[in-house]
Amino acid sequence: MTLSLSRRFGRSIVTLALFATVAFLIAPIVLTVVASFATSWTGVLPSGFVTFENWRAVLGLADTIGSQRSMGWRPLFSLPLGGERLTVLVPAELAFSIGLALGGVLINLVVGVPIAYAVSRYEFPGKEWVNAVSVLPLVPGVILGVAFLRAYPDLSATSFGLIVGYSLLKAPFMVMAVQSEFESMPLRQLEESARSLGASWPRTFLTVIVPNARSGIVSGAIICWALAAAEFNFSYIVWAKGTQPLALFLQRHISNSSFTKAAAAVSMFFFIIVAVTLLLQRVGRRGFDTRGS
Amino acid sequence: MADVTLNAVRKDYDDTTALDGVSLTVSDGEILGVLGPSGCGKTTTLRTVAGFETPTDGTVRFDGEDVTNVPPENRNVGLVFQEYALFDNMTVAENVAFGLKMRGVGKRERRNRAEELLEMLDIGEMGDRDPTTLSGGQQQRVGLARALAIEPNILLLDEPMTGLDAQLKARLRTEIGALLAELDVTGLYVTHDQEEAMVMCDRVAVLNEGRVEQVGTPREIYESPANEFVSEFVALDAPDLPFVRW
Repeated sequence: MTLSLSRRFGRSIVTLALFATVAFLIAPIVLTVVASFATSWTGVLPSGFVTFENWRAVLGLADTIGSQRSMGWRPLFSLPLGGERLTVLVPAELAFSIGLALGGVLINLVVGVPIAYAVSRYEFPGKEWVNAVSVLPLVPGVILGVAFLRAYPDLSATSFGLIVGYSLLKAPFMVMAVQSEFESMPLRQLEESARSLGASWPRTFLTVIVPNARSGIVSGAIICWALAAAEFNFSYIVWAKGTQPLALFLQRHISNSSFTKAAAAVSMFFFIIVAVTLLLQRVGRRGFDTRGS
Repeated sequence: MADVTLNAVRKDYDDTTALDGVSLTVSDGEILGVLGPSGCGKTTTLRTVAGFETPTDGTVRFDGEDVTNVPPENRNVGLVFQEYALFDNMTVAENVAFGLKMRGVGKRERRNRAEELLEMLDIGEMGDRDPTTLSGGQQQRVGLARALAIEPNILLLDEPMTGLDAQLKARLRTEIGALLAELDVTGLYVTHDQEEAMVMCDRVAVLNEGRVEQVGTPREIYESPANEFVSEFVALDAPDLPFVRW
């Protein structure tokens, strides 16, 4: 008896393809993290290990405040300590970007969850249009950026403008994630059960509907946050002065400083994305859990 | 529990009529089956009693009191759905106690009452479980316990067994039928399954195109159907009928 070709090689080929794909996707990240500990990175592979200079610079531990400032750190406060001054620095771009992106996610939550709810729960005239319009900002950031500048000249070049822009730009991801969650659960029956048990509509929405959709809301928030924190195009067009959003900061460093220092900055950003993703997941799992309360 | 009366209830949507003058009475302690093909208006009838639909015309009365315009959260009705619709963000016991919490009952009393009900429904040890880890039949029992916890004026069951397999259905039918009879629950049992209606209900109303074709005991409906529609609808699976409650 001869085994068919697909049975003999099928599984191993699929496994191989999977490994190759994962390796291909991960390689640049691994290489970047490795390079951040190197002294030079001229060819494909970095060389001159191991140095912490790049990380020291990126993390604001460099010798002089001047060199720290060049990496975008700003003094948070300084204390007179026995003749010397201890200056504590924060990575301004980083904190700024994290804050901007979180602000965008907050707006997305407040606006996106009710839109997703309305579209999945009710039939109303113009439903198709609401659906289409909520997914429309999927247009590239450059286009929205220009349109935004023309439409709201007062908002441009302000942090608030960036927050609103990020939320607008990433809203489709929130709406789609939450909507598919709502559509996978018996929304009307859940709502009517809670109402019949004596909960008012707002209470039903907040204590039953939203917590039951937590996994969709959390994944929507993670996607929106990660995309907003790294949004380059829109930031490039709308931002004018003051603290730079992280994407612009990274771009500046990639073009202006050594590759290895840029690698450290990019690695740091990568780790922050991972950390925030894990954090949001955790908050999502815990925060909505009303068990035992 | 209470008498529930629908008087000449009419429900029009934009271009269709869902209910065309439906009059029904569910007496205290009685289970009334509402039987009919899909689209006959049986779910609209249930939702009208629950308060999620406001009739275009006609009245809904609980114990003689007009509740036609009372919102659902103030009607004190229990709902059990085919989809179970358990709250996944709460434990089984918290699901059951939800209605009591809304009524401001204290934590300890809620817990006791929930455990009592779960015990009665044979799932007493599941109070701390996540409802998603339960089987379909167990989830449906939790749904029933949750609806019974508020001691509703009327228990509304919307195709509660449609999602379950035949064997489980047969067992639950007998068990839950006996339980509802023992608790003297007033209920409206909506189903498209004539066998289920015949076994579970004291009386059955057969609906077609928004009108009541016949109301009577299962025996009356089966033996002397009022018209051709009723006889055809009820006769479909008749040879399998176990005449348990006749």
